[in-house]
Amino acid sequence: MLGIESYSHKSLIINKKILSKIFLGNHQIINLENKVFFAFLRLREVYLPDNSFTMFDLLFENIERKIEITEEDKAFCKTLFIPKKLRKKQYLLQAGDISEYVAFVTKGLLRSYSVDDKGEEHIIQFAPEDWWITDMNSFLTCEEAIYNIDALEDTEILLLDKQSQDKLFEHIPKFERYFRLLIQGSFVAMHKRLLSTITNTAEEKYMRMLKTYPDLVQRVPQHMIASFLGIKPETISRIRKKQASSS
Amino acid sequence: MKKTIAVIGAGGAMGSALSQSLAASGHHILLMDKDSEKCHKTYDAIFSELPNANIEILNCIHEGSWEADVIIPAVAYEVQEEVADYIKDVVTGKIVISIINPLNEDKSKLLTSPFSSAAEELQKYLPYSKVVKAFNTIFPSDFKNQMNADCFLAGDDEIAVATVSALIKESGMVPQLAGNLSTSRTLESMMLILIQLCRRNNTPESGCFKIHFSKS
Repeated sequence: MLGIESYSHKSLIINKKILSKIFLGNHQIINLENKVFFAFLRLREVYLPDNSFTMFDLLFENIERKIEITEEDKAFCKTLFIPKKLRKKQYLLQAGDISEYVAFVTKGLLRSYSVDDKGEEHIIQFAPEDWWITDMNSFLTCEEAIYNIDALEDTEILLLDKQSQDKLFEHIPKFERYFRLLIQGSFVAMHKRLLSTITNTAEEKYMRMLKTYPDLVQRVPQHMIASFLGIKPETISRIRKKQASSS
Repeated sequence: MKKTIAVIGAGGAMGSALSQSLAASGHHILLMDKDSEKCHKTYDAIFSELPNANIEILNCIHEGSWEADVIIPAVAYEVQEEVADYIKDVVTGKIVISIINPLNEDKSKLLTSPFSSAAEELQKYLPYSKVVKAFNTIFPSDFKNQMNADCFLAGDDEIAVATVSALIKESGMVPQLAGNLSTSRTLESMMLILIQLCRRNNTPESGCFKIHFSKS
């Protein structure tokens, strides 16, 4: 079969595309597509029971998009990152605690959010596979976290605590560059989001989200997308209806 | 925040007693044992006393250790290495509590060399985990009784030692930090002495250490 022999996540993604084209044509039936993809991941786990390989594969690909690392660097990373599984709805961080880790998602989906005085949730970030997430303020300053982070699906993550991160910077200084580029990217994205929040209409915000993160819009309940965009769920329903009738 | 704690060998006397004690503190306990019947017995026993306990049975120690924040191998000394080898890649950076006493079959001597201990051996098998020696001087039957027992612990990682101290306190015992991990040699010998004392006095295995500091 296609892809079983392929060891890298990237080739699996390609296979996911090829497969969905073979089986589904070009329709966006994301759920089914994901099922095929995860069936592949499971097959790979059966053929390659060394889970550590699967776990770190995605992280190293992410790092290698920004800096070059050697096999030795990879081996050192494996001694620092804490592998952890979270169940759906389980917390990684609760507001009021100190954020001890930065987390890299290798499977599943996390979100960070704050809860206002009325008990309403406001989603700050979604973190699917290949994304980093933390309460950065709390992580850097050791102040109490203002965000909660929990799992929207069963999730696998790699955690790095402050001590280990410092160790990493000390032993492999180019990781400072890697994390700088990450923070840079996040800074730019945050400003775009801020600008969009104060200038765009609800429809523009939703269309922008749909264009930038189409997979996420399919994967996450509509009321959470609304919370992330700071608009009402009914507004999304209205936009969708309008879209459907105009197409 | 409450921890997820994997108990490997939860069907045994020590695994069962420790699981119950930790579950009583509200932690999420993952019970694992290769003898599934014994594991279910532990599960039922905990539930009958603590209907709200957050416990569950898992079949795979690799999965359980991957999910857990703290891992407790409550297995025989002889299989410690095998268990460690199996979970090695998913316990990096995590606390592993060594409760094992490396006793021979008739509990008359230690199987480790005088220059090592079961805890130090475990640390060698799991070089990137934080091994802490604890609970090894407490008899399983005493978890419920000895509310004020001294529970010695030893370890090299300050934060890990503090976390285990908190678990001991929650169990109703008094944590006594004995020193770094190599102090485990003494702690493991202490249990040997306690067992010998029980035999000499013809009493079942029970009783605990309590240090009385003189007030000066």
